[in-house]
Amino acid sequence: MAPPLIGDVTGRSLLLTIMAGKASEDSEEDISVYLDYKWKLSVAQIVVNIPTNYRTNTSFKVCRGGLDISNGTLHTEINFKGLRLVPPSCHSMQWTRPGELQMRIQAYKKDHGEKNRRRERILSGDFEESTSSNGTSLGSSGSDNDFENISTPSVKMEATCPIPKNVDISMQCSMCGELFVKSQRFSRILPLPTDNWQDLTDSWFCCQRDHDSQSNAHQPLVPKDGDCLYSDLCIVLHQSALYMPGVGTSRSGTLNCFRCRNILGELKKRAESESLESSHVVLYRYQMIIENSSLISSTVDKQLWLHDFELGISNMLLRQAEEHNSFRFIIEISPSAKSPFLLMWLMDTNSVRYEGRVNFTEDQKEVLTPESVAKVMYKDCLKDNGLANRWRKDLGAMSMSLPESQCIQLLHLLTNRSQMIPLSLRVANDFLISYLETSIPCPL
Amino acid sequence: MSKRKADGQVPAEETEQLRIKPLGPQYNRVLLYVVFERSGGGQEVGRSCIMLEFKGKKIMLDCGIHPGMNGLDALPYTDMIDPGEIDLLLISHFHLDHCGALPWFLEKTAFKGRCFMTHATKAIYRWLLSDYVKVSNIATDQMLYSENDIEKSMEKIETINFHQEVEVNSVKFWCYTAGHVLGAAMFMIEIAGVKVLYTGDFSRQEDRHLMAAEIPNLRPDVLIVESTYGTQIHEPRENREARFTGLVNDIVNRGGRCLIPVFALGRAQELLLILDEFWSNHPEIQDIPIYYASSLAKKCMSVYQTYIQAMNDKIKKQISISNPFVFKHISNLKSMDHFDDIGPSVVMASPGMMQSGLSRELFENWCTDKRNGVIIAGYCVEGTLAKHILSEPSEIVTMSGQKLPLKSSVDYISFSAHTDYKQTSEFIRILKPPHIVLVHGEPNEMGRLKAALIREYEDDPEYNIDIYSPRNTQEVELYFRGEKMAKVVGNLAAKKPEQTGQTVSGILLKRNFNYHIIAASDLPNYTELAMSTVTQRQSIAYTGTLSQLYYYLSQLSGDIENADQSDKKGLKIFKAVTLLYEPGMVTLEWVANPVNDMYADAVLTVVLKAETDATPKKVPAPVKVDRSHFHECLWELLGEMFGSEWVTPLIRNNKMTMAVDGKSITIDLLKLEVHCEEDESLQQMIHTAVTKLYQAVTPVTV
Repeated sequence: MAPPLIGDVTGRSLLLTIMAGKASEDSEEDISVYLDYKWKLSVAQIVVNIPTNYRTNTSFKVCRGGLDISNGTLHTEINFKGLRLVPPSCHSMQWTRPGELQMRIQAYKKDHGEKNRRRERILSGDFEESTSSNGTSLGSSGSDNDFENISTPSVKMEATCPIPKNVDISMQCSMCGELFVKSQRFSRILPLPTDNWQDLTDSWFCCQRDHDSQSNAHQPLVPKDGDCLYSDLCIVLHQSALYMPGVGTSRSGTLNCFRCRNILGELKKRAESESLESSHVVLYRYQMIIENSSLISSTVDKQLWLHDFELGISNMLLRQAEEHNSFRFIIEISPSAKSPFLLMWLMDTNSVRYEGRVNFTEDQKEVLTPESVAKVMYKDCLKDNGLANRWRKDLGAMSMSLPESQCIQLLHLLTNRSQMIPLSLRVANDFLISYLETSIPCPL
Repeated sequence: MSKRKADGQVPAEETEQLRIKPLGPQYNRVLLYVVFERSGGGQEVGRSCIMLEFKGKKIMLDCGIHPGMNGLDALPYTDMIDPGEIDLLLISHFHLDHCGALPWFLEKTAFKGRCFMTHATKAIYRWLLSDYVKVSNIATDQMLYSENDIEKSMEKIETINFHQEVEVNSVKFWCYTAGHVLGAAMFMIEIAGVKVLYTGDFSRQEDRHLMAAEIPNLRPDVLIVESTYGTQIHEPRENREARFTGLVNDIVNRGGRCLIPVFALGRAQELLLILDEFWSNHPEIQDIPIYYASSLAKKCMSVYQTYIQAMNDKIKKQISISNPFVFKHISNLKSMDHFDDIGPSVVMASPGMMQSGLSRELFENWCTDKRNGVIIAGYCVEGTLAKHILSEPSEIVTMSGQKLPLKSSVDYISFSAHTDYKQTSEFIRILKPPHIVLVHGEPNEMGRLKAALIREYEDDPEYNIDIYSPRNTQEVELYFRGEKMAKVVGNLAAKKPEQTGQTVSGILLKRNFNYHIIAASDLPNYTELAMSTVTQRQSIAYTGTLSQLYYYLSQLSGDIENADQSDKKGLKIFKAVTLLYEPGMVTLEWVANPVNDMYADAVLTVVLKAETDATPKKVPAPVKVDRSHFHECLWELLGEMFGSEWVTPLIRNNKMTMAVDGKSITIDLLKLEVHCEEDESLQQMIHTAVTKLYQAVTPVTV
């Protein structure tokens, strides 16, 4: 049973004392803090997990800058960088079954405009300070119209460019580091249109006449020698860019790493011509490492690669959501099986998250930094395909194909991330909850 | 350039005032030139971009790119215009040959004006443009504009509702539904009372979801109308739909699979509505499935559902009961993997020209069976499979290079959303615009349309029609009567004028191109101006007495009244200037206006004279100038003029009668009028004498 709480609110802070909780044998000594900030609503959800053996007579103070936790002898201060809390607005506080303290609180960006500060002061009942410092009455301020919003960062309609310009780059297999594009400088690095661009080409022009056969609308997109075209998940190169000893081609056109057989992409040939000159290759962006040729090393920086992969996947999901008004995704294994592997449901695309652990064995001051994340619910289809089959018939869900290794990597990533979420927030219906870091600039 | 500068010194909107022509009415010029409508005489309809210029206002209508050209060549040819001078840019619809150059024009030229389009156009335009620019930049080395330019330009595009009137820089405009595609608009532009209607691309044919182009309730002076289809006449909608459903029915009834390659937006939704209705009315075929296979289906549907208000009444009514775009007999197909190809079916699949993708895959699977059929429901260009199979080849080459015999049936049905001759002619018949400018057409079609329209109205005595079909960059100059009309409003208009020709006087207000005459008292009601009076007060040192001043003033004015104020003595001179006396000083007060200022100056001079004159010890009593004194003086004057023996004056009722040389003369002593019927020169001479005498002996009065 959760220990009782005693609270005391002043204008600037909220003091809570956890009374006589039952001490546990648990030797865990880290306090974990999780804050999910919805900046459009200016609301933060805070979850704190205090080690069971410290739960007795611990006082817990919500201040403007963050949290102060002390048990008489030890004192820990946790600050949220860039965020200012409004302690009196704290509500919905509860102990959850796993022993986590949850609350909701209003919060604003630090160093935001004067109007917001005044509004905040009204919320905190802190009248004296404002009247003395500004000499103005608060009565006329604080209307919603005055409120200064954080400007809305949004997802870009273009994939992030994977290759720096005017630099010789090399590409190597992400599994074994085998080179398959050797020191090449691309003359043009351009984004690809959306996958189904040809479905709309008749809406480009209203009067299509015979001369339109030269129009780009009806030509296949083929890279020239020296071109590098990219999308969220693919890089398209002219066939001549490949360093052939590094790759092997299967009969179906699949490109594999010559050394480790890792799938790298596909070889595309034009129907009317069998010659190799007119062929191009579609490489899976996250099956390889792109490096500046001068910095190339035989070892693969997995952490960096994983971070790029995470951003790539989250950007793609956000853009698909924007382009197709779809928030549910069926991740399928390509190019072979086309069986559903994972279901993903995009929940919140504009969330800011703070997460950290503080050791409660000595006095400490910890500053947590924010990161922009997209919250997702996920469910694997390893055992049960029932829901996946229902989603497949539903127009609202989008199917997306990834190579098998990336599917596994994505599931692994989601599972890892899910572990970072407080236990009480980790499951919803049959789905697990996780998040992916996004490249949307953090509003704080 | 120097000429332009010289012209620029006069506000362009005032040009009509400068062109003074003593004979005949004044004219103003409407300059209209097509910036880049067609290139050469080839069989092509290029980018749309039309400049309209009137009274110094410059408006650009559409800003399209050329479908058949790449890179910078695709942009409108704007060397002859200065984008910085354009006040307004109006976009008719989302097709890129009407708006594709917009990011370039808004971001890379000196254009500072405002840009408008409808809500639906803005949303769909953004969606199309993003892919277009990427494809274009890959296909050519010349970078038109980047995604970033599109993003920035979006903020500069304003939206307008149908029928909402907007005024920019004295140019009024509003838009009507144009049919054609979702969100397409026709713009009516009014500058200084001259109305120009630009149709953009339009269709008077209502279809399943789009409205027909509206007929404006105002008659435009100039109609700028598309001529894409010239004198061609489309198959009536009912026949076309019946042919389409008949073909589908035949194919499925012979046990075949029916493939309809379509694009994702517009025509697809129209065909789905037709098929769904046909299936509802024919229970016998309801067990045959219809599939719609497009990855963009959801997005297109959500766009369509967002802009229900831009659709026809049938759809608007339907949406309150059930969503017309949720089809009863049609299911969505995501890919071939989820398609059980067993027995007859109807599949609408994209892309429309079967270049690749699902439609191509299905065609290759089905083309060898003669029971199957393909219905091409839109235009297709050379070089695509859709175009190729229309020539009924015996075999086709698959994507993988394999050759397959073509045995399935192939049919073509055009679902054009452009006006044909019948619709254009009807539109003109109702609107009867005096000037028609044909644009957006291939030269031969345009020529035929012009000839046909002239022929149609040549015998109509009541409708004089002028039709122009300008070549590229060629100007059309039209002239309009520059009559100015001012409306009388406010108090001045409270009373109905009793007779024609009555003069009305008031303040003339010019606001943009409108003129109003109002009473001065109404100024604050109709303008931001206010009426105010300025009271002038001047104090002068004066050491003399009031009676002395009175004496001097009485020599100036016959209008002197006592105007004592509380403890001060005062005089009112000329009924306008108040003089207040206190020892050592006099103060003059008057309400400032040109006449009163003059009176005040005269009084001031007298005061100064009275002060500077050697102060007489004794002030003579002011001469009492009365009527009898004037009469005596006149008597004497007339005696001196004509000799006393010739004058026998008789004064009665302030009228003096006398006879000179036997001619009877009457002098009105109050009005100072002289009558002598027999001798006009004598009458004039006596009148001059009387007036001068009066002015000499009597002080000035108001």
